[in-house]
Amino acid sequence: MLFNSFPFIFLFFPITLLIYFLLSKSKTSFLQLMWIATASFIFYGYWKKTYLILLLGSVCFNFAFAQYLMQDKNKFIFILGLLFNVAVLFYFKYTAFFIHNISKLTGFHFFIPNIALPLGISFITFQKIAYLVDVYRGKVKDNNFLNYLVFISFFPQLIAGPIVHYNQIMSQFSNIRTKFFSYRYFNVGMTLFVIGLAKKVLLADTAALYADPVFAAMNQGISLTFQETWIGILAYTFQIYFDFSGYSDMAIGLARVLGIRLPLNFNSPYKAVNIIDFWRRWHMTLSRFLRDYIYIPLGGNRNGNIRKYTNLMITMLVGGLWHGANWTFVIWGGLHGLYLMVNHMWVSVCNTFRLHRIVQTYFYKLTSTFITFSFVIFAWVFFRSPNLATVKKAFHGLFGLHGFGIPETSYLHQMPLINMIKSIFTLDPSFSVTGLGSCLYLILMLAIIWLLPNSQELVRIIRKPGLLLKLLVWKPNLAHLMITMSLLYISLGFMCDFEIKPFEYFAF
Amino acid sequence: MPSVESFKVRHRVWFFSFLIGNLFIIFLAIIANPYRLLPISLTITGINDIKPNLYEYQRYVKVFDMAHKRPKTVLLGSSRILWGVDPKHPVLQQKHYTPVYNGGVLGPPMYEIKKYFDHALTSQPNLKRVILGLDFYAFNQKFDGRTFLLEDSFGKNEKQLLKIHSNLAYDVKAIFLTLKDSILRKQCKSLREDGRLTPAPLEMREIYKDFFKIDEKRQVNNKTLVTKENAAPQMRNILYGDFKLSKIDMDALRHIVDVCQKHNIELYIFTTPPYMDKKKGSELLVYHKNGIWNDYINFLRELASIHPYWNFVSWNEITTDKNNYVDGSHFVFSVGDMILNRMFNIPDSSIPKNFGNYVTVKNVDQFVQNLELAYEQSVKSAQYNGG
Repeated sequence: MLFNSFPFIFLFFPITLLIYFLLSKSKTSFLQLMWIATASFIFYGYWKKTYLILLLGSVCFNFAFAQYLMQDKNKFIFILGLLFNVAVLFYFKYTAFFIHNISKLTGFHFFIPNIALPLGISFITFQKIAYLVDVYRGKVKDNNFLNYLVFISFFPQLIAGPIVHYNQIMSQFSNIRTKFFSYRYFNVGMTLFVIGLAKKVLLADTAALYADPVFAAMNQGISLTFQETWIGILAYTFQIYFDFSGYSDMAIGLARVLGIRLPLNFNSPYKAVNIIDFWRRWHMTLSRFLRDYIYIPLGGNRNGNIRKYTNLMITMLVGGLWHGANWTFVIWGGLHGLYLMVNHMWVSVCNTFRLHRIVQTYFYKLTSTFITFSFVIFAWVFFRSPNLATVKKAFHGLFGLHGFGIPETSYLHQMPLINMIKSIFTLDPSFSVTGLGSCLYLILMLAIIWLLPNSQELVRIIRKPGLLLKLLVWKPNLAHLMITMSLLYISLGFMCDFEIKPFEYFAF
Repeated sequence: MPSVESFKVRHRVWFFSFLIGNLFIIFLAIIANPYRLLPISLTITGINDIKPNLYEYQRYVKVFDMAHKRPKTVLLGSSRILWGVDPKHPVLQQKHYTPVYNGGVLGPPMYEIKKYFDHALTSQPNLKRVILGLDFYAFNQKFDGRTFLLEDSFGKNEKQLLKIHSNLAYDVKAIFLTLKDSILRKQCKSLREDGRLTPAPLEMREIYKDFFKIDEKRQVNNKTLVTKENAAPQMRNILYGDFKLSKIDMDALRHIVDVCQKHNIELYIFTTPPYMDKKKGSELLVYHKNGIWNDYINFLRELASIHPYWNFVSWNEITTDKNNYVDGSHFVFSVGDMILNRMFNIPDSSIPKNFGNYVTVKNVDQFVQNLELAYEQSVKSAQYNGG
C-alpha cells in the first residue's frame, strides 16, 4: 500500500488509528502491539501476499538467532545470523547481477533467473542486522517475540525507513504516554504527513515529468541538447529529494500520530556546504548505519589516513551497491567516496594552514554550497542512469556536445505541466512557455530547497532562529488549519489527475 | 505567551476542525460518488443526479461497470451505440439475458471493441448475447497501435479495478462538479447505470448540437482547428483519411465471432446508419470522395464471409429523415428501437420494409449491387437538387 494512495489515506490509516487507540483502554500494551503488527502485515501484504511468508519467515529466523545470542554470545552464531540476512538480500537483489557479470567475465552463458525483488528488503535487512548487532553487543535484552515483530514490521518505516534501532522504537511503545491519544502528536504528525504528501505529489511527481523523458530518451540513444539535459537532470535532482524526503516526512508524521518519534532522515541536504555535511543531512539513518556497522568495524579513522580513506571508499561502495544491483550504483557510491576523501583532505589542509577564517566567511559558504550541489548533481547522473551508455549520453549533453537550444521536436513541448500551467492561468495557447516555463519551474524548485525552511523546521522538530521561520512555523491556529487542509486537497486533486507513482526508494 | 492549558485547548480545537473538515469532504465524496465507484449509491435529484464525469471518463466507467454489473447481454460499438441503443428495450429484457449493458464508447477502433468484448466475457463467463454495431472507420488501419489509458484495466475484476482507480472515487474536482451541476440543474451528457447516454437525445436538444455542428472557432498557432463550416469534412478526414482496411481490426472481429461460437453466445452484428442527407449526399459520398468506395465494398463482402449481419446504411424513410438524427452521425433511440425490432423480428408497422437488409455470404453480391445502384441514384438526386 502506498502512503500516497486513497485506500491508505481514507481507509487503512484511519481504521488502524481508531482501533489502536480504542485498544489503549486495555491494561497492557499487548493488544495495541498485536494490532500494530497485524495492520503492518496487512499493509505489506497489500502488494503481494507471498511477501508475507518471506517477511514472517525471516523474522522467525532472526528472532531465533537473537534468542541464542542472548543466552550465549557465540561469535559463530552471530556471523551465521549476519550471513543469513546478507544471503537473503543477495539472493533476491544481486543473483541476476552476479550471474550476469560472471557470464560476461567467463564468456559462458549462464541462466539468469528472474527473481522478483520483495519490497523494502534492503531496509528490512539492515534493520535486522542492526538488531542482531545490538543483541550481540548486549544492548538489547528483550526477548519478546511480539515486540520484535512490531520493531521489524512497523508500517510507517517498513518499506523505506528511516532505519531504526530496537531500543529507539520499542522503548517508546513501552512508554505509557505512547499508549494514549495525543491531540498535539496527531496535529503535528498529520501536518508533517500532509507536507510529505505535497512534496511527493506536487513536487516530486511533477519533477519526474521533466526527468523521466530525458533519461528514457538518452537510454534509447537519443542525443539531447545542453538545455534539455540540464533541465532533465536538475529535475531528477529535485525529484529524488522531494520523493524520498516526502516519504520520510510521511513516515515520521504517521509514527508521530501513533505517538512514536522516528529519527530524522533529511535535513535540507542541498544546503550542505560540503560533502561531509551532505551525508550528515541526506538519508541520515543510512549514513549512521554505514558508519556504525561498516566504517567503524573496518577501523574507521583509527589507523592513519590511508586506511581511513580506504575504509571510506569501501563504505561508500557498499552503500552504492545497497541501492541497487547495477554498476552505475557502485560508481555513484565510489564517486561519493572520492568526494569524501577529497573533502577530508581539504579539511586537513584547512587545519594545517589555519584557514578557519576563510571557511567561516559567507562567500566561502555560498561558493562551497554551490560546488557541493553541482558535484551531487553529477553523481545523480550515475544513480539515475540504467547503464553506462546513458551516463555517457548524459555527460555529452551536460557539456553541450550535442548542441544547444530547445529543438522543435523536444520532449519539453509535450510536457503536461506546461499545458497544466496554461490551463491554470488560461494563457493564450499559442504562447510558447516551453523554455521559460521549464526555467521558472526549476528556479521555483531551487527557491524551495535553498530558501524555505524544511519540514522538520516547520513543525519545530528542529528548532532554529529566523524571522521567516517564525512566520512559517506551524501553530495550532486557523491559518495553519486552512493551509494544511488546502495542501491536502490540492495534493489529492493532483493524485486524481496524474497516475499515482510509487516512491523512488521502494526500488532499493 | 499562551499558557499550557490554552495551548492544549488550541490543539484540541485544531484537531476537531481538521477532523470535521475531512469528514465533511468524505461525506461529499460519498454523496457525489462522481464515478459510481463507491458501494453506497444514493441518487437524490437536485443533489447528485447529474454526474458529468461519467461521460467524460466513460472508458474508465464502462470497464468498471462491466466488472461490477457482470452483464449477460452487452451492446458494443461506437458512440452511435452509446447514443442510440437502449439496453432497456423490451426485446433485450428477456429472462436469463439480463442485466443488459451498453458498452458503446466514443470512437473506438475495432480492436478496442474486442478488448471490451473480452473484458465483458472475463467479467461474466456466462455471457449470453452480444449486439455489435459496426462503423466503417473502426477498421481504418491508421488507428492501429493506438494505445489506451486502460491497457492495464481490461480483464481485471471489480476489486482489482477499484485498487487501480480508487483515486477517482475521491476526485475532488469531480465531486464538486457533480454537486454543482446537480444543484444548478445544469444539463450535460452523462451515463445511466446501464451504460446508456443520458439524457436521451432530443430530450435536451441544446446540449446535442455539437459534433458536426460545432459552432466554435478555436485558434491554435493561428490555425483554425474546428469551425462550423469545416467540422464535418474535418471529422470525416480524421475518420476516413488515408483509409486502409486494417488486418488487426478484421482479426479482432473474427476473434469476437469465434469466441461467441465457442461459448454459445448469441451474436448480432449490424452496420450503424448515419444520416443519409438527400441534398448533400451521405457518409457513402465521403467514401467516394476519399477514393475508398472499393474498400468499403470489400469490407462489406469480407464481413459477410465472417458472420451474417444486418445492414442499415442505406436510403430509406428513416435514414433520410432529419428528425431521426441528433446530427449527421447519431440516430435517436426510436431508430435504435427499430434496429432492435428489425433484428429480433418484432412486428413494427413504423419500420419501412427497406430499413435493414440481412446480409449473408449467399446474398452479399446482390446486396452490394443494390447498394451501388442506390448510391448512383442518390448522387443523381443530390445533383438534381443542387447538392
